[in-house]
Amino acid sequence: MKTRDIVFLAIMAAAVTLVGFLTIPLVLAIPIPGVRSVPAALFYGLLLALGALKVRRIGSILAIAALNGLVLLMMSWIMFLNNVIAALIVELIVWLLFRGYQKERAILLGAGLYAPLTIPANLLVAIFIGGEYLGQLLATPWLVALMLLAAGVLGFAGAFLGLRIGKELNKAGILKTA
Amino acid sequence: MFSGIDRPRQPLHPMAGLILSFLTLTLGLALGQPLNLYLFMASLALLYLVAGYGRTMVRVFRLLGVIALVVAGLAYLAGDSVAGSLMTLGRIALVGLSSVPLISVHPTQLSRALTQAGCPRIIALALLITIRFVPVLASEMQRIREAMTIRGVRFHWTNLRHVYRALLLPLVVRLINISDLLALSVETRGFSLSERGTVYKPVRWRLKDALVGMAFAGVIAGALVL
Repeated sequence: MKTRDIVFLAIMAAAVTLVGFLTIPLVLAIPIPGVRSVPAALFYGLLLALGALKVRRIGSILAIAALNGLVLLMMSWIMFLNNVIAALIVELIVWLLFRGYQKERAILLGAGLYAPLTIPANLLVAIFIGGEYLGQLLATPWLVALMLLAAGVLGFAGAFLGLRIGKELNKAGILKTA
Repeated sequence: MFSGIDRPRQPLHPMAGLILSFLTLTLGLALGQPLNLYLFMASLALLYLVAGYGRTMVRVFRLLGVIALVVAGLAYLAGDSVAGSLMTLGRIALVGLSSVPLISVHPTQLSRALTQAGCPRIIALALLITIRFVPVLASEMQRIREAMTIRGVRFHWTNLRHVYRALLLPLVVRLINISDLLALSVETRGFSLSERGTVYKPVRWRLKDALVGMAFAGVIAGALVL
């Protein structure tokens, strides 16, 4: 990976972190499991799609998520794990289906899947930690499913928007995609 | 670490902050009784106060306190017991407390400490950029909104065309421009990923780190006894 690519992914990670800081406090007080993934999903999809569009290598989405996770690690390692586990699952799925981000469908799938996958990642971390949060997640599976659906729809809409913006900027010569 | 956070005059070594933060959250989550959790947090708050993190704690809890009270209140109204609601309140406060030693670390110091510890330069550089540019991007968003106001654009979040044309596109263009400029700046300063980096001002461990570490070990011992 070139220095230029790393800088771009780091800037995207900063934008993802900023989006998280702005949107997550809005829903922090709502006691619905998985609700924190919903308001940021659109922007996560958009920014991750742009990141993968510019740096079309396996690991682009993981790099953005891990950098965002490293900033969140300053507050809690649980948030770091949520981000990294979700991104690892995304990268695995994309690698198994497309072997990389060369196709636009791969970018759409990877960027769109990330936000909803943070909910099952949260479940995995909750299993590891235990406590009442796991009970909350399992007590209302329909609500968790609803949050998954909402995050999925917004995530894919964001990824679609990201691809559209990317194409427009590529035509204008601003974003050079591989 | 983050803009607007008051830093103590002599912050802890970034690695010490990382270890303290990790252990605070891990041990706090393992405590099952509200009384034990609150005793653990009170001891740590006292330790951080003595270590010079009083202003940082006030700042963190001013932001987090309201959220913690609302979440715990909602949990109580939803039928949770008093002990359960107190535990919820305590766990949110614990996240705030665990963040205190790390969010006050200066990004440059963290980057230097990581390089000294043998962390790959690619990670140290990327992390430094990510942390540094969160407030920069926030101000960029503000600028875009101000530019819209000056031009008389009546921006509505509900109007998707406005959001796309007047906010998202300019913001993405700014992100790309910043990224290109920064990459150019890094390259022209001779930054290379292939060579081992040197640290201009090495971050050193001090007596304060050792003293806080020992006091922290005492708090952990107390928590384990509980």
